[in-house]
Amino acid sequence: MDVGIKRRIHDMIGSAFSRCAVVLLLAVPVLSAAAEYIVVGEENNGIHSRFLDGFERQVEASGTGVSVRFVSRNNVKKVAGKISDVSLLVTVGALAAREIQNLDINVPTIHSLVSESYLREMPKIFGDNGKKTSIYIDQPPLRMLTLIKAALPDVKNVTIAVGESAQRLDGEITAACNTLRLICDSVFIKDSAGIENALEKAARSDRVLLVLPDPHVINSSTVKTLILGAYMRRISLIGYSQALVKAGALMAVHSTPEQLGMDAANMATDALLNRPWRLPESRYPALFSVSVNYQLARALRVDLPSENTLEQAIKRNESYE
Amino acid sequence: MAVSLAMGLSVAYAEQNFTLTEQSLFTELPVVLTVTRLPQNILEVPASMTVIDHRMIEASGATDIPDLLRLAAGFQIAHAGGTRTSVTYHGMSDEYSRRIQVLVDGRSIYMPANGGVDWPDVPVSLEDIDRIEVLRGPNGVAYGANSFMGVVNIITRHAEESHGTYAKIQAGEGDYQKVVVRQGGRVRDLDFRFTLEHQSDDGFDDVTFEGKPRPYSIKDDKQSAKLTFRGDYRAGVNDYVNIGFGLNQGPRGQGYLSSGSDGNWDVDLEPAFDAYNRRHFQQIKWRRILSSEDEFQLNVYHNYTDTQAAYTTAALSDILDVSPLLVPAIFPGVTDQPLSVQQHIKAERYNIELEHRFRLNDELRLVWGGEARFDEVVAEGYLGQDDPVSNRLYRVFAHGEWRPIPSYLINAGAMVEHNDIVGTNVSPRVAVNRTIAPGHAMRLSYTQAYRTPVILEEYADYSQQLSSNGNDFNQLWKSSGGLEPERITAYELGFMGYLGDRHSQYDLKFFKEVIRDMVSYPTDLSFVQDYANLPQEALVFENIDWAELRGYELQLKVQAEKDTMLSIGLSHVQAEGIITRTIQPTSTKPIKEYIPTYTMSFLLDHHFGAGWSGSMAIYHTDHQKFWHDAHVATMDLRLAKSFDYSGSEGAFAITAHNVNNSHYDYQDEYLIEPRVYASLELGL
Repeated sequence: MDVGIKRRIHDMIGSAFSRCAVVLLLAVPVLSAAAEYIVVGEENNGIHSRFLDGFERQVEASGTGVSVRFVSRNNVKKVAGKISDVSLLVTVGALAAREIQNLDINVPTIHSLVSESYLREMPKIFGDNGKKTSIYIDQPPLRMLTLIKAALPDVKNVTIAVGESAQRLDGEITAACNTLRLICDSVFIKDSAGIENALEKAARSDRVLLVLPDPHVINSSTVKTLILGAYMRRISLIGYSQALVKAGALMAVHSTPEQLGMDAANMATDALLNRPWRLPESRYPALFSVSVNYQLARALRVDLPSENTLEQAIKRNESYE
Repeated sequence: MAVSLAMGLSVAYAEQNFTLTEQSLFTELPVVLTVTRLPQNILEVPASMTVIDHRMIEASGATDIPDLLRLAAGFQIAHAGGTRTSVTYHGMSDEYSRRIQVLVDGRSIYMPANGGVDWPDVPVSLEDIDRIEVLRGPNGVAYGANSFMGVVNIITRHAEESHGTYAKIQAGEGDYQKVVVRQGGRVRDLDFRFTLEHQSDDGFDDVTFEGKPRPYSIKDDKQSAKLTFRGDYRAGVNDYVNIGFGLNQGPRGQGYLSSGSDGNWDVDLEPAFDAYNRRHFQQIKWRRILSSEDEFQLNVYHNYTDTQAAYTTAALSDILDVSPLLVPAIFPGVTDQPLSVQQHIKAERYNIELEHRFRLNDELRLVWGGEARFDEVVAEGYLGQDDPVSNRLYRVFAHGEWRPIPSYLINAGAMVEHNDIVGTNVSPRVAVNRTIAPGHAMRLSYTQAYRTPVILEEYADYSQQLSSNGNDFNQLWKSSGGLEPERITAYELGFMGYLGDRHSQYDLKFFKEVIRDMVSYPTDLSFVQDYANLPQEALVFENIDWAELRGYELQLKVQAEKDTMLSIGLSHVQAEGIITRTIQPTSTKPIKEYIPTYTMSFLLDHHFGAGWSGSMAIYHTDHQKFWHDAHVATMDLRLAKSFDYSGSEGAFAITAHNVNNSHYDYQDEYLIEPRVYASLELGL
């Protein structure tokens, strides 16, 4: 090969390398400007780890190439000043949400694993439309009632046990019951005696009791009263979490931490693709699962469809809404 | 600053009082309705089952567990004196019913030495029993060794349900006295209860023979003192540790009491004495519940039983009613002397069992596990050696419940068992349940199970010995060993369902049970004793009997609201087969003589209001031989009044047993007469 040819090849390679370098130099700041989702949560927290798993998996699947960085809530103050305004924050849990609020960091933020009732309680924190939003941890009453309708089509009357934290959902519950043509009887519960009262009411009705989450009414100390009481009265107890179904509720619609992570990732990706940042309104989880305690169903002699069938029935119903 | 502080407080308040955190939804909760807590849907059970619940226990007026078991269709009981009760299913039993497995909270109390259960010494108080599940038919796959004809599964109340102080006194005819005191409570995550019980009675009245009083009486009084403990510890959200221990002891009357006149053969051969029983057990169970359909259980226990029983007969000359000088002439080399009989039995059982139940998918649930057991018996008198005789047992099992389509449920499984006595056997079971209408189903099942001969059957060497030197004199039992396991094959067509509501249910089954290699203990008429002029015979053990049983059984329970409850058990059995009474030469009896054609139980309980309740129980057992032929038709009545006393709950009850007649059941020596009992109980 003569020297001239070698030089031309060298020049070509050099030119191509230079072009790539220019592209890369141009691209890096662009990507890096949106390259980071900062997830703020608790270290050594199994639920948050599961959330992060789901989040990372979904971000990777989105193909945007955005990096994900986990920052412990305890360390967030140290890195607060370095958080770029082109980053997106995802807080996991109420404590992280409060920490970020206290730091007053002006970056787009998705609050996850916080309840609808908590957000309503704190309008000042979450009232910043477009920059801050949230995915609730709990499920909409309509979805829970749709599960009952799909699983127990003959049921007309539903007793609903409402604790203090869910009292504000009254309007939403009434609307959901009307939509599904169910006659709902809400019972306010604030202690174990309230549980008994709700069970008695359900026993005198169609023996279906929907309990909405309230940590001060339903917890590891009272769950036995609720579940055994329902079982002894042959009441179909509809819960709100996988843990409650495992403990002895008949069924529940719920979102797993992984699903909530994936949901947050989807929300972040949508926002990224529609920059400048404009986050949607706070909403209930879009991804959810149905859990059924079939062992209990057999003992109660209730024939229930598969979990997947119920999940699809709810999704179909929501797509019509 | 003030504003932000106020806001901070407000947030903190919100979090403390109203906030639903991730902990509320994702933190594990204690699993309340576990697979073991939920009763099996009768439409899905692979075998017929009777549940004797707490109400039935109370209403029956039973004073012991065998009385209760009469409520299970096809079960019979018989009293071999006042100290030993035999409980059997479809007859074919002696005083040790060896074909029924009995468990208390998962602990086998089937005795390793002579089989059966020593019912008066079962370390559980009636007052602590939550329910008894009786599986009628072979069930080796689920319950292991010796679940041959049936399984009696006694389940005591959770300690959490026995908080506070409880006391009961009961007294009645036959010098019956019983005191129960229970104290329960909670310390941190441990629920516990201690139960102390003392019971005594003087057994049956004077013995008779063919309806005529005998000139002596039987000594069959007994005393039993029991202490049991149950602790239920919540070690984690879904980890439970159950600790149990108990001990009981007391004397048992045995033999015959002379009425003063000399020369009675029975009294000379077995003069009255007190056997002394001592029992204790320790058990620890650990349950890890992963979900309502996924749990592990590790069960470790130790049983100890010790019966000290030995007696000396009258001198040979008295037994034979001859001059002492003639004894050496009758038995060359033997001077006139009493004979000594040793009946000491010390037995221990160490057992470890692991079980895992889980749901593989929507259609398939599985149970698998394994067990290792070590039984050791020291019984010099019965075994002819003072060295311990042991039997090691290992088993693995697995069974699945598969629902290919909603109306069909297929149960299939097998147990592989290996033990030192008979080697390895496989017990399979297949059952298909089909829903035939909402709340009604039919079942078709095939089961095979084995019974391993107990240590006494395999190794018996029992004789009366010369008191002067301890040499064997008169051989009573002699086993040549090498016994095969008994084998049962059962076919069942069942119909079961709920009537009206869930509280009323029926279970009707048609069955065929084929039993082969039954261990019999005929008298060998060619047996050569060491001494001439003794009866040249002894009981030997051989696999020579067989039986084929066909019939139907109905278990019905009707509960009208909360006031009235009716339970009916009905069994009809037609049998072919033999029981060998002698060999060399062989003579047999039709086995149907040992199986009642009809067995019936009827229990009606009614709550009248204002705390008054009454019940009536009728039991009928057709002609059946335990020892002698007997049939039973008897009635028990109970009237009770519950009351509140200074905030405490109490009840007073009068119970009358056998109100309509006196009868025999085991043999025509022990007359079971009408007896009245009164009880008072108080819970603080």
